[in-house]
Amino acid sequence: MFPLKAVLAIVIGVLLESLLGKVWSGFRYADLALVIAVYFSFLRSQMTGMFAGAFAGLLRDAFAGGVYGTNGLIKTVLCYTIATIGIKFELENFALRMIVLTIASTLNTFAYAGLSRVLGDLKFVDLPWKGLLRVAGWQLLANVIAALILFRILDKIAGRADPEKVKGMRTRLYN
Amino acid sequence: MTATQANKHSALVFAILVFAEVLLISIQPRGKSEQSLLRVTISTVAAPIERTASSANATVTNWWRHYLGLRGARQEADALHAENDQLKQRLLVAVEAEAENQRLRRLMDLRETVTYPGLVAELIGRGVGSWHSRVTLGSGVLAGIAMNAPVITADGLVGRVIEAGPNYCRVQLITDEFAGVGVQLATSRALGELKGRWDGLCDLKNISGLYRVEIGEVVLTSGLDGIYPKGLLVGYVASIALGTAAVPHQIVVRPSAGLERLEEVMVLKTQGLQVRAPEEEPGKESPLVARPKE
Repeated sequence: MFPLKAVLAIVIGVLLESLLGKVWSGFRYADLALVIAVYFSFLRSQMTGMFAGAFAGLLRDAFAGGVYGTNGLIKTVLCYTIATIGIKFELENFALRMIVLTIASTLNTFAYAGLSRVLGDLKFVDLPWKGLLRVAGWQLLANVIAALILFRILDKIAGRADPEKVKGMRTRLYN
Repeated sequence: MTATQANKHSALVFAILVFAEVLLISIQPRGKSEQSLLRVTISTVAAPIERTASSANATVTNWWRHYLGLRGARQEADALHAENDQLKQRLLVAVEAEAENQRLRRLMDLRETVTYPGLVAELIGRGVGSWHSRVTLGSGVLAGIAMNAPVITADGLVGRVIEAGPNYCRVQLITDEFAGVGVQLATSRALGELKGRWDGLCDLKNISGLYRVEIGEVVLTSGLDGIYPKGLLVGYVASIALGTAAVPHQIVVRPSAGLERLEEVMVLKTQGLQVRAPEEEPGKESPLVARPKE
């Protein structure tokens, strides 16, 4: 249901974020957990997508500040949605995957800031739009660059979804 | 299982998962601390891995530097090559050791200067995410680190401990937008509040426009926030937009501690000691002298 490869990839991704951030603080904008979870949402089932999102989010919450579970909730919803779309529509194309990642990264940033604000995190109460847009922009850029590298590596390690299986799922869904 | 059943099953699991996460978020206490049982558990398990990965990273970085250093030497004569290699390697190790010694010696000197007991801790990671400026240290409660303990280097104030696990602790840097430090300008003696900013600098707030403040003026902790002892170096005034009698100055402070390049830090053990500085009166005892809480 939830491949070990996904667990390992997400754990390594979050640890890498922490380590690379130590080398250069600019790396903190990259959300590798999101990029990896989105990758597994493209290729597998809704179950894999949602669990990849939940695991990536909750693990990242442990290393990041803010209310615990915020990242988990947002990434669960995002990855479940992407996995559902992935079953109905063809998302195997690299350009399409980058577009979906762009949308996911932007939604992730705004949803995190919004939810944190609702939950009373004072940091986000007076957060100016300019600041939010600036962070969203840098995160998007960092995530796209990370995805350009990670998607290719993950394609080799985790392998793409079996086209016949995906086709079968789509056929059953539409009939 | 048919496709419809599988879909329903997925939707049900999704609903349960989301409900569990909402529950997880809602059972956390608000406002007081970010310390949660699940976060501490995960971080406690991850800390040794993070520490090992950090050491491996340092080794690889050293080898890479070594490799770069050796590139020129490869063009030399074969007879000298091996010897050169060895000497450079030894030199590299010696230079690294000397640099580490110097850093640790400075921290040890600091221990004698600051009257609070403290322990040296190694930085093992930076907090992930772009919203908060945090670092992770490789020592925790078992080493005697407590919540809110001030963290310093020989160059100045770093921040305070906001999460303490058994074998790690997380430090909120003073440049975190949510961090606040009670400070005092060294020359004008004006008291103010330091807040973190997006760009690694800090805003110094609530300094009346009537005070004369100059660029480069030293900023020290005031001790009035009850967390940081009085008299610790925080940074220097980097820029000022002058205020008036009714409008306070807008002052930007550059932290002196080199927060982007931290390696070892000192965590002060202020728990159970009186940290809060008394109102400033001439002739009073320095609040840097630790006094047991009554």
